[in-house]
Amino acid sequence: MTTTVDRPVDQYEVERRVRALQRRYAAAVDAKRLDEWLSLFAPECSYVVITRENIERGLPLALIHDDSTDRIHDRVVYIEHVWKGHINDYRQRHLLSDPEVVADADGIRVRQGFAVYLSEPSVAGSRLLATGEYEDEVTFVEGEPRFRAKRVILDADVLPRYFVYPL
Amino acid sequence: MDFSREEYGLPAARLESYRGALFASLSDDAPPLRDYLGATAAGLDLALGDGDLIYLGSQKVMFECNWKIAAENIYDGYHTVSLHKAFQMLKIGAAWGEQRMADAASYGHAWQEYRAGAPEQTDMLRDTSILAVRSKDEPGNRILNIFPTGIISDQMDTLSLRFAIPRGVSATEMQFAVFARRGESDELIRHRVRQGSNLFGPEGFISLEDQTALARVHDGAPGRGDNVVLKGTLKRFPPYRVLDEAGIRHFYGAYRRALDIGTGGPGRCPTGAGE
Repeated sequence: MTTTVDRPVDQYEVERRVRALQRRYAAAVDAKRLDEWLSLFAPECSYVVITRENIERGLPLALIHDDSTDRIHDRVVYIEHVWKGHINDYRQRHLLSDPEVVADADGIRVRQGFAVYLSEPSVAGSRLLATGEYEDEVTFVEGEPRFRAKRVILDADVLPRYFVYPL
Repeated sequence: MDFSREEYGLPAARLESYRGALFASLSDDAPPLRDYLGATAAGLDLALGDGDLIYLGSQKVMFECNWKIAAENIYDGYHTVSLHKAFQMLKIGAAWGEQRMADAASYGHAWQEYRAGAPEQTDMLRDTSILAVRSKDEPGNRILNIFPTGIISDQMDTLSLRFAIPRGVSATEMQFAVFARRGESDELIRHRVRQGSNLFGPEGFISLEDQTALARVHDGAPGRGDNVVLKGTLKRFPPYRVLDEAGIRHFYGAYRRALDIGTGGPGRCPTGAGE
């Protein structure tokens, strides 16, 4: 795979860079900087949000099934040009757990737990929107770590409400 | 004293099936399923075919509204062009069509049958394949509500059964169970998964807008005074168009009859849309 040649040789350096990528991802989506979110994906990539329930039952249906770069791009168009000012808006906050990073000849795989809190206008306090786990594939593109695949696996069977911004 | 198991425990539900779809009722007084479905059964024939379907998974989300407002969403075709910015921007037409079952004689079911206009090319999206229709020779789309809360949606390439489960006055759990038809190619099934996720699922480009609107309608419903519907589509006799108010009147008429709470007075909530 030609895109992995930029990858650092040192395992700790790989892990440090992957942690930074995940931090930047969370900061970008929480601040609703979606162009930056888009820039964190590799040229060939996928973004899928799916429940643990469907995975355990071997069922492919997802909540978001963006299995190409174009579809991820179109999601940003939707959020910023179709839904903006139209949906019931909210703030979100990611909390990330310590990641498990495996880098070998097959590539770089990351598993990381997350919680996303939701805060709505004029509503006291914040509530949990989702908890779950990222199962990501990361590659290096021109020396920078990028997602080849980001799979967001939700613990809950039932979403407490619809979400708009990437998880 | 002998313990009689028959006198305790969960009551057995009556169970009947139609075209592979199972219907259960806890009521001994409910009519036989075929009588209950009535002429709406023909809509199930079109949507479910021989009933030999492959389950692709479910999406489940809380709608932040009362279950009746969630039901209105299915009975009302007017909102499709006025609410759905996605329809407008992508130039998907869904307004022309008819409401086939908005008559007081049925048990309160709805059947909206429409033809979507072919989406025009848009430079807004890079990937318009999400809007493609690959599974049908005929361009028919339909969405049915089997009173009170069973929804059958056969729109574009997304075939789903939806279940609205009231969880509270302001909370309705909506489950979307999505299917393919047996014998379809892997490629078509992948397309169904994409469209079922990204267009008609609860996070889909279209269905997300509904949830926003339903939550706002719910918030506005307790407002004081009379709510007057100003659609300008006063059509008192069938055949009804998708745009007409008849469907919602029909739903509330059936609801009031089921609860035996009267009609709310003349001119406010007729028992049948044609009255």
